[in-house]
Amino acid sequence: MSELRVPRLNSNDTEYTLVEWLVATGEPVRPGDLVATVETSKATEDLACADAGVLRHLVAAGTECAVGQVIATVLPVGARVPDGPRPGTPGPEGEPLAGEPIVTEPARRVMAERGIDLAAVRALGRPVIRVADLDALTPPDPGRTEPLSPVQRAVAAVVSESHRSVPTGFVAIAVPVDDALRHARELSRTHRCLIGLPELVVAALGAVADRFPHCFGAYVEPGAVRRPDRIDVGVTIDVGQGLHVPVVRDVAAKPVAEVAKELMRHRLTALRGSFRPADLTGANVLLALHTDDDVTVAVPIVLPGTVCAVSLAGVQPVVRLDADGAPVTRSVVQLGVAYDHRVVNGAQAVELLRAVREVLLAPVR
Amino acid sequence: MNPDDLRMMLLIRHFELALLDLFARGEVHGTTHTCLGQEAVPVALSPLLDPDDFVFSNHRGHGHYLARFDDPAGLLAEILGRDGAVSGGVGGSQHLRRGRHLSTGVQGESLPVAAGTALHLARSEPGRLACVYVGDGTWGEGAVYEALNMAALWRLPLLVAVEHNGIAQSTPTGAAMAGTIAGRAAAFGVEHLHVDATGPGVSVPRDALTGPVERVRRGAGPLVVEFATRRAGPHSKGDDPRPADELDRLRAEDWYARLDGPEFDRLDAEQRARVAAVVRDVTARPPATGRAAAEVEQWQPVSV
Amino acid sequence: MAARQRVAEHLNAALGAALAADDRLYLLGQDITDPYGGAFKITRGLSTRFPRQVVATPISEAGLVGIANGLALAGNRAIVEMMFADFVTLAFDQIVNFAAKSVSMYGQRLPMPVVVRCPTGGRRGYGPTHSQSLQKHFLGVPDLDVYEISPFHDCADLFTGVLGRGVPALVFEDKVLYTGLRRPPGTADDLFRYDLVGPWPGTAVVRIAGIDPPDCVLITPGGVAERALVAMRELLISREITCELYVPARLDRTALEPILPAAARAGQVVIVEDGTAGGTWAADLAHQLHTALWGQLRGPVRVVSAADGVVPAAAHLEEEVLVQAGTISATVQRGHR
Repeated sequence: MSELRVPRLNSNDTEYTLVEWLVATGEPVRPGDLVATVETSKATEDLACADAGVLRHLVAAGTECAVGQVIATVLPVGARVPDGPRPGTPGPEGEPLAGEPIVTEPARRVMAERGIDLAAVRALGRPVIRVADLDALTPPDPGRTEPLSPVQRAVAAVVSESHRSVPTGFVAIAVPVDDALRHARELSRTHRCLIGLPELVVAALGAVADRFPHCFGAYVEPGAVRRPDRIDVGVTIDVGQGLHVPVVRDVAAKPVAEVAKELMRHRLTALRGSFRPADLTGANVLLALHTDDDVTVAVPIVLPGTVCAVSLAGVQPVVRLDADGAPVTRSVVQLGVAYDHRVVNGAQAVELLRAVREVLLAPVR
Repeated sequence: MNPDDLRMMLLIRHFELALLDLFARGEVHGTTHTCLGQEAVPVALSPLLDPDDFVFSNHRGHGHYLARFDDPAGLLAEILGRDGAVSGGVGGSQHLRRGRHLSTGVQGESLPVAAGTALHLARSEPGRLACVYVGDGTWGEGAVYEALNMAALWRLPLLVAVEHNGIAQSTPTGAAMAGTIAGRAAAFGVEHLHVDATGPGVSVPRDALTGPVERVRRGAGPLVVEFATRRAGPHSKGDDPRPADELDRLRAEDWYARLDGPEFDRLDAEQRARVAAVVRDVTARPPATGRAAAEVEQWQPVSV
Repeated sequence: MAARQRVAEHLNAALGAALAADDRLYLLGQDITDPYGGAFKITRGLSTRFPRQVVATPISEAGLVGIANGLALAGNRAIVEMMFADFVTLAFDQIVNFAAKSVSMYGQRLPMPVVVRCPTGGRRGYGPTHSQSLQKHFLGVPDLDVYEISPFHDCADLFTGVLGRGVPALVFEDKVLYTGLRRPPGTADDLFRYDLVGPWPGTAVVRIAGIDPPDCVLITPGGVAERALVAMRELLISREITCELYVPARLDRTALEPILPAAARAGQVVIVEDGTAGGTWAADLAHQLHTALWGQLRGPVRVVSAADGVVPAAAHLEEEVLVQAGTISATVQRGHR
């Protein structure tokens, strides 16, 4: 597509009158065809077009045209002159001027980047198109940005707030889990429900909590900690529908089988995707599950309003020497804790992890 | 001599003397230019002027105003900035306006303006003229010739009254003017008349002017009247550089020094007293308001 | 009004209407009668239609303005054409010392309806004594009005109003405007619209409907308006910087009220004039805007004037001295950063 502009024909003139169109809009033109007559302050002159194609008038005969103004476009050969605003006189105040919109150069660059064509811009009906107008016109290119899911936006808010407001430290210890895994299988059979390391860790947190009240509390400005009434453990669940942190209530008072059943209910809810707000609020510790066996260690995010976030990594085989000095393979997990350093220091954090390990090594019924 | 003419000559004389006295006593703010010695010019000319003629006066214009309006109180109030001032105290000595009588303080400026009023009169009020008072020094200004040219070209009823007193402020005419006023008028094909207005008599110059002025009114074109006169006083006050013997001669030749007799003494005392009364009256008045005296305000351009 | 008119034709029609409406109105000037019709043809045909009222004078600027003054004193009105604004210096005494002062110096208001038309400005290669912009020399004189025509204002309304005020006035007319087109009511061009706002004779506000606040407020007299429009278009299209242009017809005592709200919203003001800097309209207006908008502007009011030199004849030299659209655009960008 090319443009037909009004040339400067006299040095003193700034505009000319378009007296008449010599070629109608929609008609084919060849290079050199005289297509319009303009009147200068001294004479009338005919304007020729430079390219072959189909002429589209942008202003009506009788219009005053500034030097340099585009008065027509030459569309590709065979093109149909689009419907839309006809050349004409300006509308009343506030209404767009008829005819081709004026597109700023920054807007033209954005149009090229986003693949927006002139027809779409024309349809806006605005006399001037700026970059901001294009945002209103088109959803941004899918390959570039797209909105997050509501679930992820909620995650984003929580982790941002955590990052912003909770200064954390992190430690992890190795926990041999052969006995715990065996024990868990037995419990599963006994209680006819799935019990694994996550369930055991949740129960273990409940078992040790009264010895580490600050680890389950909350930091209160300007330098206090609120003790928990009971131990509610938020557990990360991601079954492909986004990350949720449902809460297992009062774990200190529950046998492991009940903990397991409550967690199972949450997993099913996560699959259906309809947690109630009450399911997701009030945790005073987080258990972040990274139980894929490829994961060696995980640093969790401390939920705002809590002090500790415990992470459970995948099961790793390690070779050890037994009592006789013979090599044996053992299963180990890295149990980590990220902690609000304003409340808890590394030593206490390690003590918490050791206490949990102790429970796992000497399982309760 | 017509007692009315003498009365006016004496009014102007005593007015100017009183002004110099007030000046010496510090009663005059600013400056003033008296027309001592030149009284005969306006007294001779004024009776030939119609009330609806335009008159353009200049910096030395007290006599022009008094001869036309016999209003020493309005003029003195203007000069002293007192109530009843002709121009409300805004204009002062050099900027008087009453009806079609105006004075301005820029040399030569009023000639083209007078020509403009003459253009109006020629077209809309035939029979009336525009009279403009200038000095011999004014002929240094280019505007004079632009105006003379157009006035001659368009045969305008313009009367140029030249008070040729032989000196422009401190410069003798001979040091400022090449050629003559007559020669300059002739260059434009403008009629020129030379009359003696050194006084005390005014009837001779007036009679000499009567016919030519009438011809101006009838469309003969402009007329330059060169009045021979004497400046008996300083340019303004105390700034007369002329030699003492010349000043003595001027005083001896002054018309006032050459008159005497009981009739003169009577009129002289009468006008001296009149001016003294005006001075007492005006100096007792409150300050001028900046608004022209009421009788002046009522004047409107003559409708045609 | 005709659908489309060059400014010269518009002025001619305005003068014709004024002469027809008042047979006591005179038109005076050099070479203004037919068949010549004036150096810029503004008075073409008028001496044929109004032979008594249109008076061709000798080359005597002081003299012919004096004639106009005398006509006004005698109850007439007069419009005087200076062939070039440069020559108005020859009539400075008649304008400043006689016409303006006579309005008040006799202690009462004396109507002096005298209008001196001054074809002003350069960009036509006429050289140093035929291209100046002398507006500033007449600003601040009591009872002397200074106006400048624009492609937006109606000159018939302007002349009627100016003569009606009874105060002598200069009307500056940019010579390049003569061959340009008068903008039809409301429409500046394909991009900009305009409205006349504020007290008579009005200030033209040129803008794009729906863009508010603008990034910058431009203020120019009529002769610079076309260059300002070119700059505004370039700024918008290349850089998305939006300007609102204010074109007052009155240069002395320019009304601030129409300008202040937009200037405050934009926070940036550029004033452009075609004459040299120093005691100018733009400087005075800038001072007034600073006083009125102190604390509301993002930066100093910027003033664009011609370079400090005579206006050369050669096109490339003249261009260096006179204000160009690019100068305006660059100044707006400096303020925008």
